Amino acid sequence: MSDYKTILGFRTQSLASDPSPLLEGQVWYNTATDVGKVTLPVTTAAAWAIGNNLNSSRVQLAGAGTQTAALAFGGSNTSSSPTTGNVLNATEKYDGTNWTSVNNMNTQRRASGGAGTQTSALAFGGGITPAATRTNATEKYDGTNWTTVNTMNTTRNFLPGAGTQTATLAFGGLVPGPAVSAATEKYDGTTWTSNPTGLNTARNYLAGAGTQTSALAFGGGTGAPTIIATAATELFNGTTWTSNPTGLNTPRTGLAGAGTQTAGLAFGGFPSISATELFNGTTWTSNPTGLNTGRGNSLGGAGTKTSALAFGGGTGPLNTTPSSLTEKWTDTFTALTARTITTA
Amino acid sequence: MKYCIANNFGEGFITHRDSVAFEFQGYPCDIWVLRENIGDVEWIQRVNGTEKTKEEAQAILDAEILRLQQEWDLANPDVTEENEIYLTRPTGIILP
Repeated sequence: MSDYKTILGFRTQSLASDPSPLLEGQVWYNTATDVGKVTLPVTTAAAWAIGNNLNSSRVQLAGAGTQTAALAFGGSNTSSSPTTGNVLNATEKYDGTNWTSVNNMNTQRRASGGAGTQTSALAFGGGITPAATRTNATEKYDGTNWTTVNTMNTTRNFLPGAGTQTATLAFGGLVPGPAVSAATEKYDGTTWTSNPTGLNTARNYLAGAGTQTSALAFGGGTGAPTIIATAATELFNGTTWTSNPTGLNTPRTGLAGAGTQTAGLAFGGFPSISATELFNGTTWTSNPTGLNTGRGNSLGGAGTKTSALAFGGGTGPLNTTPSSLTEKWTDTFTALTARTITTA
Repeated sequence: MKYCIANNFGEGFITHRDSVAFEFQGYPCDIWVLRENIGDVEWIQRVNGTEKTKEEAQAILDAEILRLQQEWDLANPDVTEENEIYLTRPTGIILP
């Protein structure tokens, strides 16, 4: 039988430990573990992993930032009733491993919009009581403190946001009636301006991603008070919304989103949906695995299509139990890995 | 399917590799349902979980739903707030 030296003309290296960095195709003999090894590219499927919990369990919270520098703010600790429980102004920062409680918002609110980064975030709209009272209040976060700034034009809750603190987009939501809204507003860092045209499908409890000039709206509920979950997906070009020919594979309300208009991520939603879908600018594709705990009621979302964060939201029957769950999404990736050579 | 009770301790409880291998689904009362695969028993041991039969897990869940329904009935004799179009009386959950 031919050996390695006969075939290739040289012997494998004998090493006390695996080499670093690994080079694709590299073969060696590990003298410490007494095995032959080879470096091969190994592809790992996309999935969610559990992370450390929020300090404060909540439904209907908002989020901003990235998977390693996220911000969670507001929400409600209502467990099962709209007439009990508290609307929160609690704010927490995530560093990729742990959540830390930081200075509160000035206005307690739930189901508000959120945008920006961990050090430059914006909170707008929302509900200010466990019952029906809504607000158009807007606050800026500078990494340390929240400051109340100019209000939105349309008072509403259950709306998402997109963009940065100085170029924000707010769209959809629930207005008094109750009725679903198509209203779209732009914030320039100082003032909110109503866009002449709104969403093609008025809705609330939807998710958003992207920027003020290239945003994505998906899912949500089109009816009020009777809720009809929608799969509808729309793309904003800075001026108008265009309905995408295809929508989410799983219609849902109370979901979260991350990413951009051409690389979006949708996850969670009512009732206890774990389904995770990836958007490429044209179509949504369902990932084989979803959140480890399906949940809705406006869980928080942050990050990108390749590296996202899901936090809080409602679990249990009808997703009314406030959760502190945190999950970290990593898209499919390929990495060089030292594999032991075995004989079949 | 495997059924177990395990307290989610956060980072490392379900890793990316675990999630791909077992396709978890979490439920109230720290009930976790995972697809049977090589290493599932080791995962339950690693997280200090307690394996249950499907019937045992379902009974624990049913008791929790009953408690939530009673709590709801006490707190919501007449829910009329126009905003709360998403909250209704908790219903049962059937484990897969």
